[in-house]
Amino acid sequence: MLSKLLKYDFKSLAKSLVPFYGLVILLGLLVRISGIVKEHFPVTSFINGMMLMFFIMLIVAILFYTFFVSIRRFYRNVLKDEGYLTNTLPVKRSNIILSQTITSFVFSVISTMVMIVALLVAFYTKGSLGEIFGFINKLFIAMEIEPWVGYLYTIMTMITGYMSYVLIFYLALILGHQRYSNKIVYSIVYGLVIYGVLQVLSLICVGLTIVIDPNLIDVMSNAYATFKDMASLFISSGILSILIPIGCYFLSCKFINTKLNLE
Amino acid sequence: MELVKCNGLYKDYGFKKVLKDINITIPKGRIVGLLGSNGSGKTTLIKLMNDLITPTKGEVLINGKKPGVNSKKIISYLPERTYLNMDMKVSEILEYFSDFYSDFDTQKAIKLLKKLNISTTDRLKTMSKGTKEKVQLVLVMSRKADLYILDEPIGGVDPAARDYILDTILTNFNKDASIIISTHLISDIERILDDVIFISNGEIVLYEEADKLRKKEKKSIDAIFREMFKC
Repeated sequence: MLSKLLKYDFKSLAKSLVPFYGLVILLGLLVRISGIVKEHFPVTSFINGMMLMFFIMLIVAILFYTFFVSIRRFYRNVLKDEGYLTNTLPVKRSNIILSQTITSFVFSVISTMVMIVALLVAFYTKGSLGEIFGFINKLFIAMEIEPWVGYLYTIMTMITGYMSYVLIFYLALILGHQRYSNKIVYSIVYGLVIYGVLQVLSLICVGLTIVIDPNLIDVMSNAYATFKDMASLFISSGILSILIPIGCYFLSCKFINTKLNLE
Repeated sequence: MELVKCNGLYKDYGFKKVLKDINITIPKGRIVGLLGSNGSGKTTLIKLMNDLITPTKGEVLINGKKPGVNSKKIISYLPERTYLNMDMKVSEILEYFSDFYSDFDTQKAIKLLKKLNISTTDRLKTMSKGTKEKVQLVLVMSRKADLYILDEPIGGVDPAARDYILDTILTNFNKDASIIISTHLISDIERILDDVIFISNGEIVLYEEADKLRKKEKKSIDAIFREMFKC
């Protein structure tokens, strides 16, 4: 049944996001074309500037919009009127949350790829990619970290970070909707409380890491500390960033199973 | 065999007590009218049967088990509101039901929609409230379920369409199945009821066979209801 849930969640998000993707790439193309035209007809530089401004706005908005659309889908499909159908389907509620989480994640990856493609369409020149990756590699090497480890850690952090925010929103909405009035206000309050708790957990995690690796205090005050010096901290925060979305998922399942309130 | 059993069921919304000590048993093969005035607790009781809210105290059993995946396989539920995604076409909704409910009969649904002059290419957001309700009823009645729970199925449609809808219900349900119909439009539905449950202020005040009640009181169910719930 998870595959069937995924099918409809993908369809629904695609309906909202694919036109947006098309618009971003089209604007990237227009930026490229208007850039070429500007070289020959400087009088059109105003048009190029406007295109560039809209393009940058869309590039900045694309991930926020993806996040917004997936949270809106969860809210409408599980907790509002459509929830009367979704919650009476013969499927486990944990699968409903899992399907929405997977869909949101996949679309965040697609959005990132669309963003990169649009940037390439607008600005790519021969050798520019090599320059960008060369710069990033140098940065990793300066931090005494193998580039592939650096890329892997960055990608993992982005994934767990995105998933954490999605699942924190789901959990906050589920908790807020257990109330009998002011559900949105309570959802925001619960969201802030969860965020606060997670900050405390992060501090505890740093504290525990220092207990295990006392050298970390000296390393943290050293402006020239490398990735290698702070490996224990990166590992512990990496583990925590994996545990946060998992914890939020299980809590969401628990509360939606035992305290669903479509009143 | 009992299909639905409520044991000492209570439901509070905050400080408001919506259901108080509900004890009912609904066997297979009955059409039961759940009748009560607005705010009497009908919809809350139905939501508890459908696992959309959780009881404060007591339990609901469907086929002897607590509501869950198995009960949802055998219950076909029509809520009192539009619960479909408005961006979907009727054909997409048919596919959706067919994907999730193994007992859904797509051909039957198409036939019923045709009779109502509803095209499968129409989008829900272009339809009137009454037409949306008809689509929902067709979807619900096109399942071969063991229990149909219909919350205000005729509330939003014009009087002319009510008889058609009731006939649709009567001619499209599995004869071993039970139907629970919640409404306050009693005169329209009383002809089809086997049993009636009167609910008032969250309490069951009467549960009897419709014919026996009519004979005993020498009145229609509608008249009995009006007398009992006079303001």
